[in-house]
Amino acid sequence: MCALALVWEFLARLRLWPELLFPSLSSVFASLASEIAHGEIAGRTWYSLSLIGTGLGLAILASFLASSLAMLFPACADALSALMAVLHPLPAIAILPILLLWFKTGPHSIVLLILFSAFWPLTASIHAGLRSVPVTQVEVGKNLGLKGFGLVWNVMLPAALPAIIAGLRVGWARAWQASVAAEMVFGASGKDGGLGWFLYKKRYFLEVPAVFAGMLVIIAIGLLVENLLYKFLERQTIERWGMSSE
Amino acid sequence: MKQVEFRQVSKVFAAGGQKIVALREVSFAVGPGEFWTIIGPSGSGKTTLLRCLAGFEKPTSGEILVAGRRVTGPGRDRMMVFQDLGQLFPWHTVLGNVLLALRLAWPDKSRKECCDLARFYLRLVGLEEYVHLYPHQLSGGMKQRVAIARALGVQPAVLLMDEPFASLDAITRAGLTAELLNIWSETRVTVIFVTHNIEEALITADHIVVLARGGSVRALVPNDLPRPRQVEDPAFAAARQRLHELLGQVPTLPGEETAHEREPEGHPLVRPAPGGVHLS
Repeated sequence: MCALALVWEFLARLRLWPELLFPSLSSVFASLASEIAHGEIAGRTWYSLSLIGTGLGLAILASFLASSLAMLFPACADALSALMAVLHPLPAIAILPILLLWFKTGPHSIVLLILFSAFWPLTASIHAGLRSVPVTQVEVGKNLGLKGFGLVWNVMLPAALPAIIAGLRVGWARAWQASVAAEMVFGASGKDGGLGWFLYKKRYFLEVPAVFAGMLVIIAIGLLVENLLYKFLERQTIERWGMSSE
Repeated sequence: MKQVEFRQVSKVFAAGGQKIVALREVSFAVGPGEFWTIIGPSGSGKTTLLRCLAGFEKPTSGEILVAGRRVTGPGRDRMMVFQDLGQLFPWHTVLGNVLLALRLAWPDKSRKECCDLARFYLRLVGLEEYVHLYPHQLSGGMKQRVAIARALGVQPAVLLMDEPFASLDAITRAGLTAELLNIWSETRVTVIFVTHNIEEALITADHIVVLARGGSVRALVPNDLPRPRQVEDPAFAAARQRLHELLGQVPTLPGEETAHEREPEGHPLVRPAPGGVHLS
């Protein structure tokens, strides 16, 4: 990491490329500091995170509902498999034009795009996880009188947790992609806008150090979520229960 | 009233256009508090018999009664202990596994009462010091003890055991078999125990159901050996010889399908008897 930073700084100081296009790391950090100081980047980050939180939250709810229904009713499983086969390969950003026509530009279109982009990988993971729950554990549940949603909640969902966490990781990554991509396509509505809009706007004004600063913020959030949220979640659950595959 | 009654129970599986008979008109009746052991070569329908009783499979014909009521599906009056060492829920502690079962079985009891009851049953299987461990921290034998405690805690009309110790090493297995008998004599729970081990059957059972390949009952053998049973006892050896002979018979009636055409697993105690020995 440090070596990478040193190489970057060294290359930038060599002035092989115009400083405008390839700023030094120190100017990137200076820009980051000033963006943080006057508050723009924090607002943009908060805006992005709130959209992602909403979209991902809805996607998680919808995925749990869809995969539970698919476990309980074979007809739902068939319908879900058919939909998944058709829609999962479609890059989420490809439905943005339709979303814009139907719902106009604005935060709700981005939330819907995030929902769509995270729903399929999440549902695919959860569904696969639920189907590979050990038969004996399901039978123990039935033997104890569990059925329907009781069985799904008490036995199948916890047993599928490793797959669910894997799905959440993919869902989170897809949600970020969707939110940044969407804002670069249609910009922001009014004064609101997230990090995607920030990157786009800074490029427009050729504030390249600020573009890199925006990217650093996205990387930092990714690292924080991975190490604080997912690693914590795994330690508290599947690692503690001896269910992680590693 | 009989605790468990099999009435002409048959089970036919359809597999790839072929009909496979797993159970053929099985009938026997188990009294309350009795220990019945089902023995037979592989493919004789031992596990199918237990799974029909548990309600995981539906008999093709015939019926099974438990305490006079017809079995229609899985229920807490028939608790199964599986051979699978993965039958505990890994996300619950030892206590949590038993507690979940008790909370479902006794919705009127408070959490505290269920907790006390769970600890009582865990003490019964000798695990009172390990209640806060997770299943992955336990040995195979300990996992099976937890499964037994969980099943007993529900206070079923009959405890079903499908080769529960078959995945364990011989020493652990012998120890657990002895402990199971202690628990049985303390709780007087009705037990139906499946095994393919002749000595295990003779050590445990009041009555032995010998199944033949093709899923028919070869013999119902009462086992009157005095408890605790000693392998060195000459009467034990005689009984073992008799069971060997019974199990050595492979009935192949012409034109009839049997469950599996594979040879029985090569257990040293199960050898075909020379000639044809018919018993009772």
